[in-house]
Amino acid sequence: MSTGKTKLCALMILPILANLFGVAGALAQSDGTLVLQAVAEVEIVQENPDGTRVVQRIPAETVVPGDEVIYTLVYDNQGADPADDIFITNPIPEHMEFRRAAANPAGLETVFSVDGGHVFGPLSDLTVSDSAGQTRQATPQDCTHIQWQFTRSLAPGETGQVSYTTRLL
Amino acid sequence: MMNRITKLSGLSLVLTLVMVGTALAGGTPSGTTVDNSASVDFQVGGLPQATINSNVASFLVDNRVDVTVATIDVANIVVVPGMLARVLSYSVTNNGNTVQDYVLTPVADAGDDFDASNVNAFVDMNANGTYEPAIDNMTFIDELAIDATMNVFIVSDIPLTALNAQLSNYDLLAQTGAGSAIGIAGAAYAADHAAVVDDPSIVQLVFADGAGTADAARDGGHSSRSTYEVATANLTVVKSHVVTSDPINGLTRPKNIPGAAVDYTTNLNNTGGTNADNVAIVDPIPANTSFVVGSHTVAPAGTQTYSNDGGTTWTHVPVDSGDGTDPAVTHMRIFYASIAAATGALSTFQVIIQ
Repeated sequence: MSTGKTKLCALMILPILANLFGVAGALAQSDGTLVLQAVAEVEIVQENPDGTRVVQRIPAETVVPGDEVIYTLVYDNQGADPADDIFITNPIPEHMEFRRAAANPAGLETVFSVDGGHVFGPLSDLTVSDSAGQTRQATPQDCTHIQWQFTRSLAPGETGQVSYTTRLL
Repeated sequence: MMNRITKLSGLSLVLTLVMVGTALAGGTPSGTTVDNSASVDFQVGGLPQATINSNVASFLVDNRVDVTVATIDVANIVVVPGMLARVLSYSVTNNGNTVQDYVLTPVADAGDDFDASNVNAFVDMNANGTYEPAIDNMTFIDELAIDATMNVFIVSDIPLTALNAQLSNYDLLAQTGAGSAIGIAGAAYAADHAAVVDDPSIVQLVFADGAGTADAARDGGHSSRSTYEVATANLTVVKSHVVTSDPINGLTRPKNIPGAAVDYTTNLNNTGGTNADNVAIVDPIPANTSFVVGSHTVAPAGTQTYSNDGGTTWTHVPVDSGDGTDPAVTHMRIFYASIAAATGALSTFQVIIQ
């Protein structure tokens, strides 16, 4: 892991960890192995007096139908050994519809399910049947689950995050 | 592509075909908690480890306040001055994600031709489109469900002073108030929480309404306009006279001297937009003149009666006193059952100057 990447991870961790104390729910119990943290945020645009705009992420608190919520999952190998064959699975929350996934760190692939978590694959490989029995290409709105598959090991002490955007129905 | 049956964490769905997106048009109800938790499966040294679950990341869905008022009337509502309880009709729809009350206010237009009187807003409680005073007596909308619509009447009296073709506009303003308890009017929200720090533990307000005819966007209310239009008769009466002969000049430039004949013409016109019914015109015989018997003509025909007692009774029948006149006639009265819009009536009679 290059110095630059470590620095980037540390910078990402600090604001997210700072948010943890505002996030409902207890920290996941770990045996000193993998820890997974979920964070819900919204983006706000602030206009500076000189007309420039700054996009900021703040914890999701005032959310009304139509708003977009960005979920970030932070993974951390707190064990002494490499972790392999890692799958992170996230059901799309009830009342939310999936919109788009963020770019992944190297070595991760994103797949989706539209059938309640049985079959996962790239969205372009998935189809759904509508009420009339017609089959069509699955769209982001059809996703029931999002899953990240690691194609490499996660070293001890290594951490990273994945992120995706949803919309409140 | 890897097939994998994963343990579903958090809220689980057992269906094979999952319907995503079958939400209310107004959106997920406020007060709903949206939870997200993920899980991770992995191996160490080739050995599958126990699934690890993340925390639950939650937020509370807040109140997106949105309301739409529209008028149901497809054209101006035609009224006649003096009519009571004339109705303008509107619909009020809850486009938000929370059950709400709505405070209703009829707003008069300062720039129109006249204002109605005794103006009230009443909810169409049995949704039959007809104002029924005994049934439609609530003045606010109570506990309107998400995506639901109630109809509202503005009911007014039309003043007698209103003139033909005049317009009176009324905006129905519906302002959103808390749903509170059934039968209790929730006070209208004065502002949303845009200027207030987020509080994740309570449902906060976000105004998302548009601008109506009498309110601004994002003010918690909406409005729409309907119009009363007056259609009534407008009678004008023009009376003229001309001397037609005198004993000295005959028909050549006659003058108004005793013995002269004078023709009186009464020109009645309905310049309004509707019939004038039960029209009665009373013509007094001018002082110092005598009515020439049989000289009265009326076109179109009306019902003529004569008075010899100053207009108290109308039973006198003119009788020639010997010179062609009946000095006893004091007044004439013509009765028209109806004079249509844009038509008129002409009556003439002759007198002899005494």
